[in-house]
Amino acid sequence: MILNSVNARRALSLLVFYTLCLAVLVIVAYPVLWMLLGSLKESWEVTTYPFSLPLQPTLENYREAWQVAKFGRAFINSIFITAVSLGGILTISTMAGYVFAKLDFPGKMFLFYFWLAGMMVPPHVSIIPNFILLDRLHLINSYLSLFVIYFSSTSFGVFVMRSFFITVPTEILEAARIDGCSELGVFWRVALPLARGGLAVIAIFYFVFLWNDFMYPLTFLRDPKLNTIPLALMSFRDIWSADWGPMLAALSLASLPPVIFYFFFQKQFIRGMTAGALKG
Amino acid sequence: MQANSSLRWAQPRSRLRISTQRSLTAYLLLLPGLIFYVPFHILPILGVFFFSLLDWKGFSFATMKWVGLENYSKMLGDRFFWGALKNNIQFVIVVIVVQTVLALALALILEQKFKLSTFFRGVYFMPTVLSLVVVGILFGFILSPSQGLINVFLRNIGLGNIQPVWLGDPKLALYVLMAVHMWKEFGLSMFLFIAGLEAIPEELFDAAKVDGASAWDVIWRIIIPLLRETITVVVILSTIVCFKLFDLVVVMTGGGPFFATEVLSVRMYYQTFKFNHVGYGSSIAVVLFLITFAVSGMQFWLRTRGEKVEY
Repeated sequence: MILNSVNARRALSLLVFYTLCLAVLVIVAYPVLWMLLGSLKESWEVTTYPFSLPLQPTLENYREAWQVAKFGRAFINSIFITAVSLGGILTISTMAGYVFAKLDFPGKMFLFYFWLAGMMVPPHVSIIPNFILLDRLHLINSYLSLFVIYFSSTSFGVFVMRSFFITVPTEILEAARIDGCSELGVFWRVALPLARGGLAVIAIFYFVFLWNDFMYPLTFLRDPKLNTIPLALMSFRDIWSADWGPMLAALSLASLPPVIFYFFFQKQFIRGMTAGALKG
Repeated sequence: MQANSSLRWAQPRSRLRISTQRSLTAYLLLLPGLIFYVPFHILPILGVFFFSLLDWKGFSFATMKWVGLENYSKMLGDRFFWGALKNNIQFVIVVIVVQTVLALALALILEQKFKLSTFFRGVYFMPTVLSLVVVGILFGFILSPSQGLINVFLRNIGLGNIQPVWLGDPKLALYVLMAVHMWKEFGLSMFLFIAGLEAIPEELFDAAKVDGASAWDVIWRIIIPLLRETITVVVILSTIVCFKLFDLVVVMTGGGPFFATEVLSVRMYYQTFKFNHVGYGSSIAVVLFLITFAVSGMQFWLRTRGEKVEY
């Protein structure tokens, strides 16, 4: 009897759990699903039958967004900016992280905390002086403005890479030195391969940030040819406020890279983003 | 014998050489980062304090005028500044309470490890990787008064007399933004709680079960006290994220209707880049800086106080 009541209670709580989880699932996933399904419908269909499946799925919206609205250009611009910035950030972060973890030199702790403090500065605070400085340097309306700003936002990367390099045993590095490896060789050929996990964490964190960043391109870029995806989406919305099909296709295209990466590398994503949340 | 003594003799000199060599390598590897970090990340903080003391309408240096603390006294009498601060604070309070409770409840449920629980977690986290511009535009469609999903749904189930204009209603708009913000962000808080729960030793729960504690007792007397640190982190983190609120407001409402959703970052941005009040915009940025600096300073202090920092 006791066993039965325990089982019944277990079943009841499972029922409650599933109901709650399904409700949240619908709230979280349905808007995204609606966006993807709507992108395969014609615009009149999106507004007339918003809840139905596409009558005749078509990729016409994607074609229109990509070609007619020049979303393709924005997509390629975003890939370019994300790739270059990510390359720079990873290079800077691994080098500095290694130095702070494994080398001794005068001023080490001061420099480390000086660099770490950058995480406490929200981007909005420095946008005005940054704009003025970049304007003086004639970098406004050029991707260089974005690159220098992104290359300066490395505090989180340095911090994470340092914590990964600390776990690399110093004896291995010493052994390499005794075998005649140069200081740079020790870093590049011995330490770095052992700290790959850290690279994955910061690469994911910065990829999401760079791909989705809105404020810096909004402020620094003027020429529509230079538009990144978020900027292109904003100008599409004004053009297509009544034409939801192509707009939903553009939104889907913008979301696909991070969402697909996320479902492939879920564990690393969650690790990277929660670490970023804790430190940022 | 001879080799040995010559080695001993050579050691101090080569050790010195090695240490300078390592210092040089260190500085060399730090240099590329510092070249960008100092002028574009540290200098602007000094810059924004300096600009906040100026009356400066444009971006040409010739029009700069030193006014001391005038921008700050103007701020005290600016009811739109206070309105924006009020919106920020309201946003922070509602989001902290609702999101923390929701995330904790879901984390507790999903930690029960039933079928599909990993799937649920995975999907709940997905919105965090989306762009706020995508989220803002998408929910703009969903909340559209005439053709949006929600109002159409209300009409379909016979509640056609309830047709809120959502983002167009000054009383509702801020709450709508909070809901969208939480839709995107709650997964992060949830995973912080899951990590916290996984750190609690299993024996504690077994012991409680043996002692006949109810689920409610376990939650209130074991889990919540042990999660105190995680709760602090989640609350502080949500606070910082709420003060960074910018993209969603710009995309969805532009601060309207009638300033109902204008927050500090948005007011700072529009004052500076729309109306060219660089000095005044900078003084708002300084306030924003002081608030977030205080909050993240608190987080730093709480986390480093005695506890070891992981990751």
